[in-house]
Amino acid sequence: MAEAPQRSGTPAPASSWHGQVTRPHLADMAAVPADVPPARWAQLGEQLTHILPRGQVLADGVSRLAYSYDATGERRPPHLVVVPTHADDVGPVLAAAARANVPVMARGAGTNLSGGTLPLFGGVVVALQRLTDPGHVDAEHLQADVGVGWVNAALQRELARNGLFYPPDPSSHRISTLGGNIQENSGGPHALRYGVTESHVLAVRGFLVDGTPVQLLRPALPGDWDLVGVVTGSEGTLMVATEATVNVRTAPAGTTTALLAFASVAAACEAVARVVAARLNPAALELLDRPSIELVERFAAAGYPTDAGAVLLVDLDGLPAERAAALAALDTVTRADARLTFQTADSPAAAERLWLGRRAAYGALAQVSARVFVQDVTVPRPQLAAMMDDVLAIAARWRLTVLTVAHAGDGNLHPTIAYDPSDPDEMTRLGGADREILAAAANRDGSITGEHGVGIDKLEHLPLMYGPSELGAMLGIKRAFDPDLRLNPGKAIWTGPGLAAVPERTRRCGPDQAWRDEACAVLQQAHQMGAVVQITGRAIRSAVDSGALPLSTRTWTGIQSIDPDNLTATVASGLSFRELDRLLFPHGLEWAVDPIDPEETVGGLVAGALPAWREAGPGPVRQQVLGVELVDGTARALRFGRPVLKNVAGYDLTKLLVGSFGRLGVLTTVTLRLIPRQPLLWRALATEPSALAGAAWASLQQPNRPEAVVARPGQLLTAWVADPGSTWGASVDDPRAVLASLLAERMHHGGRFHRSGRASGPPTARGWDLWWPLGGVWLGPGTGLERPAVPADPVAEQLARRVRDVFDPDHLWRGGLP
Amino acid sequence: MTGTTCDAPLALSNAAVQQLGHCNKCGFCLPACPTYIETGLEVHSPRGRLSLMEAAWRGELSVDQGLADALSLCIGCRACETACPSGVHYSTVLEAARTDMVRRRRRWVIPAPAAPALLRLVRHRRVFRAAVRLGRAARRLPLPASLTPLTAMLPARVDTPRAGAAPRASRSGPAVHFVDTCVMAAMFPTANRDAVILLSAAGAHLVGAPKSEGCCGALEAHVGHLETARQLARTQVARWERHLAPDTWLVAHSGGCAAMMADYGRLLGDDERWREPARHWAAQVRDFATALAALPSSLRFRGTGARVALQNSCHLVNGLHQGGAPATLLAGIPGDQFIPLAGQDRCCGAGGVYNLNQPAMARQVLARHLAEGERAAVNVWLVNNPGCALHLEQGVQALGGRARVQHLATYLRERWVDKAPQDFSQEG
Repeated sequence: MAEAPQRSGTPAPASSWHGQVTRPHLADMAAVPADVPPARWAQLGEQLTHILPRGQVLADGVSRLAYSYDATGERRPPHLVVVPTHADDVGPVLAAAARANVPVMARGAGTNLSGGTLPLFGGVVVALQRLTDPGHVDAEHLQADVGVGWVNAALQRELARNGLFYPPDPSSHRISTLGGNIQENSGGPHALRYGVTESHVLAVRGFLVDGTPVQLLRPALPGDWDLVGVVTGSEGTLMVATEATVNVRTAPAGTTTALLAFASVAAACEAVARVVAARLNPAALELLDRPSIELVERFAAAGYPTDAGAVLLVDLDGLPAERAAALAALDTVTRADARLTFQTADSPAAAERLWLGRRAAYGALAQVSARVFVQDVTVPRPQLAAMMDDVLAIAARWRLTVLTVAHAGDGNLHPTIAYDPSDPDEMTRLGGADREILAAAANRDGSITGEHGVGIDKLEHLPLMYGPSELGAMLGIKRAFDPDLRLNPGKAIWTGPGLAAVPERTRRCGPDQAWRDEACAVLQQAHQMGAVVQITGRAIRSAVDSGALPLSTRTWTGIQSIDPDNLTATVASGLSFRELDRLLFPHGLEWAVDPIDPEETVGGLVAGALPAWREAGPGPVRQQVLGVELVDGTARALRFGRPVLKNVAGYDLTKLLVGSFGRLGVLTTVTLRLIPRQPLLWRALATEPSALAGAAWASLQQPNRPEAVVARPGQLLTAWVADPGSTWGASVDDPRAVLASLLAERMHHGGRFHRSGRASGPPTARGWDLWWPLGGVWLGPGTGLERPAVPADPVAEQLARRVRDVFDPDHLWRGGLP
Repeated sequence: MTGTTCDAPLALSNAAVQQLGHCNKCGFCLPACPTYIETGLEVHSPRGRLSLMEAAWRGELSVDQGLADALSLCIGCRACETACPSGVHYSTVLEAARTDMVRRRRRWVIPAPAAPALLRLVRHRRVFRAAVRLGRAARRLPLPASLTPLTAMLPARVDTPRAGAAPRASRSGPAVHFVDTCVMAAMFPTANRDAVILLSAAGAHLVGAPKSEGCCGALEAHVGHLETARQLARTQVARWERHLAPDTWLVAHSGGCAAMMADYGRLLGDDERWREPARHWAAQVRDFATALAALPSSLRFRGTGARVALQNSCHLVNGLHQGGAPATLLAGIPGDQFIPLAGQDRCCGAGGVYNLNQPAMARQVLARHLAEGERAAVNVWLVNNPGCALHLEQGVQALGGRARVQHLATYLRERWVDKAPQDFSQEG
């Protein structure tokens, strides 16, 4: 109480508030003058009251304080808060803020763990929790249109009624909003099997910072930039999203939760490695170390053994037989002297109790201290144990107590340190340990943040992963959306003038340096000649334009690394699919992309991102690519992404390159996500054209959904399933009984689709635009369900042009079908 | 006592400051909070209020009408405490803050002028009971606007204890002292009597005279009169110390009072003389349903085809942590359809005298519950707290009064299959 100063009636300035952390680098980040005259705030507040209904513009001290914090604990009060109930009102609010030239920050429930929703420089906070309209679940097409104010758990409840679920489930899911999840690209335990938020966002609607309405769609046509993929995880720095369309999934037939206790963290990490290597594909695989167990047991009484060095919490989902087999395998591969117990939850309530312990971990920490520093590093999975050792050694060196929970299956660790912001010595030690832990993760080719975001906590550490070229490209993207840097300033990416001081990251020597030189030489030549450059791989689908300088990747071959225990590979872009497949075969792995011609190059397949037949299974091409290295139109060598499943450090520009058709840069190497090889797929045919769409959708709503469904006149419905004995189709209601006949005609097709040639007719290079995916089914012309015309959004097109200029201002890349 | 000036930082007890230190703003309390659910505003969430109180305590935020408005919209249901993974005892902080605000002698916290009078009234049983009757008559008379909401709170039916089977004497069962609690005794004596009959039938050995026991202090603590509440608590514990055996259960049919009484250990935690007796007392407190379920004989009930929903007392759920027993009891009654509603354990908006001070929000919170009941075609609402009874009664009437509001004990008494004790038939 002694800290409370003697004071007059007006509150002290926020800088003198208790517990603020000094962040000198932030001074550079404010592009907008900090000293806005008070009269302008009053004027803006007055204008906003004309836009919004009564009570939706808040300028009083109480409200400003209530919107000054998130779960990180610091407080930066905004000048004005608006709490709209209609998305339409957001645009005019943003326009008014633009006229006043003040910072704007949108937020949801404010559960951010990296400071992403602190209004650092004040300004206008747009609180979006009340935007819960629409809330439409389209069970047939496995999609939901939601206002961004929907709470994740509320959407889950709504979906559960239809036998569906939405996989991303951050620990904050009981209150965090879909909008926040999208802006942060949230993960959560179940991202392991089904992918993070980014894998589930199909469209984003909202406003640019100046109030212009914009709609971004997941590219239906190759050659569109995946702006949805870039906005997802942009921490609210690119646009204010008010509505989204998300993919949902059929709920698994059932889930079995198991708790495994080990004598030590090392033993638990070893078990994780073996589970991943055994390709058990659990739905969730979580680790808690001993201090975490003791903590959560005190508050959640989840039933974790407190004498264990670490526990693993495992969810296995699927049909009962699958789960039983997986459980038996889990038991076998983790059996070791150091395993103390192996228990399974015998009821949903028991499973819920086990999960409560994991989910309560962060909140329970507050019993130790109100301020906890939560890190969020991700490393390639085989390095989990080594990274845990690093963390413990670093904490010991800096005399700090650390406890760790981890999404172990993703290689995502949350080392957590309690601290007291008023203890300068402790703050110094915390800073030192923080930096070293992040550097250790970066050195292991991991990410400094897997799911919590850069926020303000990791901003100054971005150079551990990126050089000035990558940081500059991210700043370029930021300016393409928000030229004045007014939207959530000081977050996610480096916007300050100190960019030039960042050292260029040392690059590997070797052939890829030669490839970069080669690309640069061709670019330089084109620049001098006033010509354009056209990238070709094997030139299978398109010939080189006569007026263009060719840049062939044909000789850029080789594999940098295959990490079978991490299920990743980094390969040269000129490598052919056939060669890649041959190299992966001995490892029992495959890259889940189906080329029309196996001679196509990996780079071509990534840049082309043609429709992925198995979208219903492993997902589209963009989910099979974890990172890229490229040379862009300004001859910058850039590297985005890492061989890790979760990475939200800066903008996810890997997504832009997938499907870029060679118009942003030439890929030199690509890091691929691999999956256990499907030994063969079964194909089923339907004979009744009128029922095509119904049958296709019905098949996708089975728990054991097929990997691909193609509806095509003449050839009719074709589906690829991994397991012919599965029950899909068995419980389809009568109108969908066509599926039964489909099953009756099931035939052994003798291997994978692409190996059997093109007989069943995918959308070929020509005419692909007549095909379209609906809820995972590819529908072709003649099915009676033609692609609905999507009106071109001029704002989105303008954004696309600006994005192109970031990478290729002189338009040197011709682009085209690879 | 001269009030401190408006400009001084908010004064909080050490216990309250300690609780503030345990909040790390994770936000898990938000979806549990009725006023956050209604408003969607951070200011009206537990995390928001804790932040405001902390800032005001640190002198970073003025103690003024804005803060008072924010704090007075809190119903005090304590659902946030149940939701909190850090175990923050929110009500300790809120009570301390309200106490300081009241000490400043402003009318911030209790805007309804009649409420303080009501608080004093409930401590005097006979006067209170007379006032209830008078008030019912007065409802038909033109009254000043400030009193109108008060009369609307009065029970719709005149409630006089009806003659029932005399409690059967049991000497073998656990000793039970039925605490009749002031509002229940004045307004709902029938429910109290039904509770006593059922407890007795289930084997309770009833001890102590249920008369003129005064108020437990719940209403006082609620609005920031903490010192008065402590004084009332001491009186209760002293009487118990004198007259009752230490293992006697203290059973009430009022979730709010039971929770308050179970909280005496904390309330008198700084009181050398009373700390230990208060803790012993608190450990003996049982809600009616919990006690009934724990007694040796299980009673048999038979329903009448009603569609029944429960409005659990929020302090029973979040303070006493005995919210599970009523639902378990109800689920086991054949003949009626017990419908567990999603909002069953969420506060109805009554909140002691909250519905007098914040009638608009109280109505809004209740409307959500009634709508849920309407969708489920509920025709009997069961309550286990007098404030909830009054509030629901009023709300149901406003909606056209198709559903009945009943106290849990009365409902059970009506459905009790009398004179068919299981132990008898088994022996015979």
